[in-house]
Amino acid sequence: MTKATIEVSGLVKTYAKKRVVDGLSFTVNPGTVTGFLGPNGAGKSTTLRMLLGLTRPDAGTALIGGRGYHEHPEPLRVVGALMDARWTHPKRSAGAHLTWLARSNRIPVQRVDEVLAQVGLTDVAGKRVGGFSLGMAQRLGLAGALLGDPGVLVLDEPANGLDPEGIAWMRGLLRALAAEGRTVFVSSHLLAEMAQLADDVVMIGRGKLITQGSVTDLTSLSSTEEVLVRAEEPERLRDLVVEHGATVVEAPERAEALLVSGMSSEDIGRAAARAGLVLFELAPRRRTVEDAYLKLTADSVEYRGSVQQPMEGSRV
Amino acid sequence: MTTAVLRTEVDKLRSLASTWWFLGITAAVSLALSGFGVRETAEGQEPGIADVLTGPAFAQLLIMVFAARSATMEFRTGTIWASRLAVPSWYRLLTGKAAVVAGLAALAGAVLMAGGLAVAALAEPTARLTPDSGLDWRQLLTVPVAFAITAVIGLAVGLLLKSGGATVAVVLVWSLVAEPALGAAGEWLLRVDIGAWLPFIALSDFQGQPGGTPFPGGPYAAGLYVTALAVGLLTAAIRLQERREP
Repeated sequence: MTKATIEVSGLVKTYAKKRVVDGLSFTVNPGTVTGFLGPNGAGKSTTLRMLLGLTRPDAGTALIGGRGYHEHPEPLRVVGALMDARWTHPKRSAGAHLTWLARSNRIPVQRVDEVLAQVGLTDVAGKRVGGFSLGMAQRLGLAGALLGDPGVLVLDEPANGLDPEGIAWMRGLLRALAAEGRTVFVSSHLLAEMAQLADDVVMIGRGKLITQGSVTDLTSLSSTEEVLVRAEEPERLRDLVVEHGATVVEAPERAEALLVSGMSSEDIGRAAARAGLVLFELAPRRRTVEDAYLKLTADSVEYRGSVQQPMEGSRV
Repeated sequence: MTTAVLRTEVDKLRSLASTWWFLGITAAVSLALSGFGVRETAEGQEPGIADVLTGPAFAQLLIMVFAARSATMEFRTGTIWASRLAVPSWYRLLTGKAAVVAGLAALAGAVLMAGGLAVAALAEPTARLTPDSGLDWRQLLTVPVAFAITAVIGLAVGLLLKSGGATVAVVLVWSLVAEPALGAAGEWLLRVDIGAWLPFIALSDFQGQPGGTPFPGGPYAAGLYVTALAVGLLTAAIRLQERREP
């Protein structure tokens, strides 16, 4: 296993006059799990395809271990990729699929049994892939990525289709692989999962880098602390905190609760006590990865749905 | 890496039950037609090698379909992208595939030619099956070569069109309908007699099949010409694939 860094520099890709990747630059280091986040249409899949040599960039470079993907003579020994678990022939068995992959890069065929055991598919090695569930297909895709014992793993939505136990297993596996010094680069929409899994995050929007850094840095980015408050007299509370220079909005997820920014929970409690206000709930809200993601990508969302109003007469 | 690519393509074909079914059915049909060919010779004519080769001639079309399918199936299932990650060069990947498919086709041609003779000898012991002229030898020995050439043509068309149905329709309609029609009416339609230059008609002349149109320069020049066409079509398909964006 050879350690390698992923280096993307000035990457550009245009489709039909639309720049889907626009001067993107970032680095992914060995020994870390790095999450690749962004709204739909941000350019994540295109970036990964350029990194893996499946799509030619219009400008810029995407290097793994200092070389382009196609420059590695036996790339499966350097980079393990899981882009789409359905890139298999449905009538071929799992073992046969991995065998031809192994032979293509002169990987010892014994590795097939090893990776099947690693992903828990030993019992179905002889079964046709067409009969696999989505979760089993994902595990097979991961087995294919691990086949060459690569120093770099590039995974697009690896937890797709996995049940909670499978997701926990995947998390443990990827963390262990990173702990061995491998570079693990994971694109995912499961933000809560990414918060538990990733050390670093690369966030893009409309083809551009929004931010890159540790998960801790991301969740503390730009915001002041927010406090969830529920009071007996919400209007009095609103006037009170505004007087103290804080901002207040209605909490989106809680009826009659307010979100206060610009005052600590201690200050709110003291001010309420002095004003004789009864508080039912006073809870500092820890910013999550999802909060940071939604805030940072608010301007970069390509495809935004609308909230449907219930039909007249329908039960809500 | 080249050996690895070739072994990989062999593995891919070998690991599918459909490969064995297809080859088995092709062999059964070919051998049966070879037997019927010598049994049902026109009255007054002595059954010979040309009658035996009606089986392999039909099998050649099936092998062309098989070759086309080996390409289109990879695109339909997405396996081509797994292959592309393993072998990050369209040129190496697709020439390796073509080499294996052509090799398999040539082997099938040799087996069906020899098997056809054996079946014919059993079906009609009085048939003249021993080659005793240059034409006889050419008819027999060009079978594996012709199988390989048509396999490469089928594969190349499959790479260009990517759709199994469209590819099969194009290769069969072209070889069975369009070429004979153009061969017969080319001079009238285009004011040029293009018959001899059409690939399957030229291949037919190379193989010494009766009733064909002689190629300018002779049958061996016809063989070289069709080989060059097949290689050119494959090269064009690979170049186009390199330029296409997935």
